[in-house]
Amino acid sequence: MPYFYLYDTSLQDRSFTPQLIKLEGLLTDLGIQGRVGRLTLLKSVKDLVETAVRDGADTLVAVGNDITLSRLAGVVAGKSNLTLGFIPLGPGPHELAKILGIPVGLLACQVLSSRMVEDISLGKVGNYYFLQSAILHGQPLLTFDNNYNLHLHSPHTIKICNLDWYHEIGGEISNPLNNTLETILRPLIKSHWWHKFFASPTLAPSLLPVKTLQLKAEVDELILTLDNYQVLKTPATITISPHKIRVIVGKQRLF
Amino acid sequence: MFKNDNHGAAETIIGPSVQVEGDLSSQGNIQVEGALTGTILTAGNLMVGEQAKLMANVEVANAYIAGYLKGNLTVHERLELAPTSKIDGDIMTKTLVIAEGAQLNGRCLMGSAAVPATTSRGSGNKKTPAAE
Repeated sequence: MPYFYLYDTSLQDRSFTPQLIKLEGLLTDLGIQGRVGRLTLLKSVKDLVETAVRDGADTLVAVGNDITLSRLAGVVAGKSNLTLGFIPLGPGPHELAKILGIPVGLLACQVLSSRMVEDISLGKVGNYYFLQSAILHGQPLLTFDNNYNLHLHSPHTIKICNLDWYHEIGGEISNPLNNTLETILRPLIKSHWWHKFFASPTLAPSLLPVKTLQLKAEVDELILTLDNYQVLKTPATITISPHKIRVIVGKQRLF
Repeated sequence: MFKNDNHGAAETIIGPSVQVEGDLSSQGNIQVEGALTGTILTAGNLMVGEQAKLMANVEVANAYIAGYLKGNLTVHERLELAPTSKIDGDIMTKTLVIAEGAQLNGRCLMGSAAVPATTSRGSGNKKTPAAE
């Protein structure tokens, strides 16, 4: 099982050098050492993955934060012969680490060596995949599974979750194994000066499971952000791609 | 609210700030606090809040209605109408609980024999073409 380690650009900082040396020593002790590739301006995730696969790697490990893993997942999507691993290290966010049951830091190597694998789904918008969620602010028209339309009375924050928290409704996690995306809609409320003294009005959020979601903006184009880094515009069709990537997870995973 | 509520939290929640038009079908519990026009079909439970307005035909396992429903309601097990509920339509259910203040304008058929077995999706609406 040849391993390939993809280091995020944030780890180029000298302050991370001692940690990376310890990491490489630990991987060697566990017998899961492998080649290292560093993301730079000149080397994209796709370039590094192609090189790694050509050299015989079948386990690709993202070393960095949630965005590092999301980028790697997007490139590896659909390739059933490849397995993804994750070592959360450096500046966050590290929400995916908690959800996948992987400790932040060098302890993640233990999870990697135990090699507990799950096939999880990805969300898809056009040619782009997302691992966590897609977020939109505005008042689009939504069509769910070609069965029903949703009209919004006011601008909302719309979050389509594949593997993410939805704190708005009881702090649940969307399940990436149930072949469904969870759509959470929360009305945007204007802040007024009197809210300092009186509680601001809140409207209950909505939660709807979906396999195919069409988004159309009635007036202007709206911005759709995938996994906090990829920006697209409406109109867009979001679908679930089941069993799209194989990921090494921990026993303490939350799904 | 529901006996033998194995499903727990709602799988689908329609909040007060949204309006749904179309056919909503599910396997889990549905909670409606907003407006819906169309049909609701679920193997789970339905909870309609006080401010909710439904213009829909509904078929569910159990239901608790506290808002307004215009349409036919088929409940395979237990239907409970809260004091703030108002139904304009026919209901079919095995067990019925009506609180003081609930309004029902329509026919009421009760008992196991009155409630048909769970219909498959869309089978009731197909028209048989006339033979030539």
